[in-house]
Amino acid sequence: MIKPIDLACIIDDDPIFVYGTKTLMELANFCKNFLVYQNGEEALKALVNLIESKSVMPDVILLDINMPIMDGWEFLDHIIKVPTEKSLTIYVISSSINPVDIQRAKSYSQVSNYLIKPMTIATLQQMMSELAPNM
Amino acid sequence: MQTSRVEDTFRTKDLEASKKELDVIGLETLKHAGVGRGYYDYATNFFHLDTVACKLHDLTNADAAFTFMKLRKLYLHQKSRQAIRIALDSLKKGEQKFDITLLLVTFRGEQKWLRVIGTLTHSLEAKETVGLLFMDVGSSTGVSRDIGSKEVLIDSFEHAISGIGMVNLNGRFIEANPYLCKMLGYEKEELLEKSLIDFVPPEDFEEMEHILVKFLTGKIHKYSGEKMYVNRKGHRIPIFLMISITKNTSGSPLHFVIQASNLFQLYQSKGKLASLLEIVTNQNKRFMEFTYIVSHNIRSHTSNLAMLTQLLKMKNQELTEEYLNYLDNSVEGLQQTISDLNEIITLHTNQSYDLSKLMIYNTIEASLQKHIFKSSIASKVIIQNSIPQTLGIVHSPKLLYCILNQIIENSVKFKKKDVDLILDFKHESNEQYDIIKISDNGIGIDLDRYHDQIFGLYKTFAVGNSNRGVGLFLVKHQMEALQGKVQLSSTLGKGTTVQLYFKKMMTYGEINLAGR
Repeated sequence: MIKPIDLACIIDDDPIFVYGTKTLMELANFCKNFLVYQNGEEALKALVNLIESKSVMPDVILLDINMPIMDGWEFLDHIIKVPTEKSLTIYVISSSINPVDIQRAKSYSQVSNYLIKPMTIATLQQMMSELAPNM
Repeated sequence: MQTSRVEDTFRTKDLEASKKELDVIGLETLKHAGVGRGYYDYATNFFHLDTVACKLHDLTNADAAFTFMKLRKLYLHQKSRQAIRIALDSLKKGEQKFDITLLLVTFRGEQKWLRVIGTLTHSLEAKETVGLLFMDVGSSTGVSRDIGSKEVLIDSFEHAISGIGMVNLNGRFIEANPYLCKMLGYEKEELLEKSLIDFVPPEDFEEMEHILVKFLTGKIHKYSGEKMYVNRKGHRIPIFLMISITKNTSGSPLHFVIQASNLFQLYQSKGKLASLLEIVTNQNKRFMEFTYIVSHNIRSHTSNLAMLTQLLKMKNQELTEEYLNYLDNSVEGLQQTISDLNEIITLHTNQSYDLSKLMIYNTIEASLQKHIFKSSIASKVIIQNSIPQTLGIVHSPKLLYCILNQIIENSVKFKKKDVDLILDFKHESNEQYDIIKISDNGIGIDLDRYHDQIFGLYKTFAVGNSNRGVGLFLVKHQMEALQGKVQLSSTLGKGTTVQLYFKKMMTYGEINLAGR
């Protein structure tokens, strides 16, 4: 039995996705705590704060692409420039099946994988096994 | 005396022999000189040729006698045949002799010029005949080729499908082919009263003069390029123009030869091709946009539905009120996206817009009535409208109203909270477009950040308002549906200006009037 991770972060403006993913995470015993942000800008501000105050960082970030104010790409462009003690684990998760988006996500070395919505229990379990060796 | 007698005797005695001798030698000499002989019999209509004449005509001795019909096959050129007919008739009418030059085409296809001398004689049976002598005057010297090619040249000149003419050193027309006359719109006699410069557009005068001077000073020998000329009706027509100069043997210029090919149709089809390409490019762009919307926006709702049903299937999940709401929202979102897509598709596939000339000032007023004067914020809005009340724009009334509504609605929605909204309407125009500029002093958009997303579907740049991110996307497509375009400039904190480019068009009524 894989142990749940401590802190997961969801950056998505779609309340249904956030609700569903949180429910699935609880059911799969994926994590102990969540952080949820509605767009890239909100997430960036909060995460930079956490980094600067040397607080506990999320073990995994699930990042949506299409969001108002600051989209996933802009968030990535900013966050990769922020120096961190431990490197961040980021999964891009989007409903877009456009190959252009998939290629673009893969061009960031900090992005672990590109996942296509909907979120499923199986996806979460796969992520847990990928994250386990790092913990 | 003795001597004289001897001489006399010699003359008398040998005269007959000498005559015979002369006949033989004469014939031999003619043969060596390549002169062919023959005769034509009026009664039988037959030509009879000797060996040399046969050879000249490229005939075997077996063909040495033939009718006038066969002759027609040898003298293919109508002018040559006519000349023979006229010459033979002239002898009948009392002439003693004829001397003509004819173009012959042998059965081997060789062309040669023959000089034919005919004299009226009477045969032994006292029949009326024409004695004929044939001499090759062309093929060996190359004259025939020259004269032949001159005929061909004249023929091409008359029937050319480009304008060809000659202009003297003062620029006056001295020769013009029918096509050139047609292009310029004058009869040949009229054209010969005109100068080249009469057809040059004023802005090209200097250049044309410059070119002709270069010819005269020997700096150039030919010129070619795409030019415009002005025809009799004053229309400008594109041509490919070639100019060359002819000179006499001592090298002094004689006259200019000009040649002009009409490029009007080529330009027209080039234009058509370019506009077709533009349509295809735009359709392709829209197709890509649609693909993205389908691959992303529709999927975002269906994946939510998939996730929710997945959760429902799992144990200990109840169908709560909250849950039902989420399901509801997903379905509604999906329906909305499909209906938005449908609207765009209809916009571009509906080719039969009911176009009419609309007074844009009035349309703006109507839109302001709806969104401002009758709303709660009426007292907080200042309108500056400098658009001429008489300005008409050809457009679809429904589309134009939608476009203006959307832009005014946006200005109201993104108004600064504690500052009165100033809405400014201006008109500008250029050759192609009437431009309506609508500016506000609202919160503005950071275009450095969002310039590539501003007209995108479901793109929103602020949180917490009812904006769906559809308005500007629709405006863009509504403008493009009637060959217009939209541009937006904005400064964060200062305001936004939307520029609507309306393609200048004529209504069908006006087109019909102009056509008359």
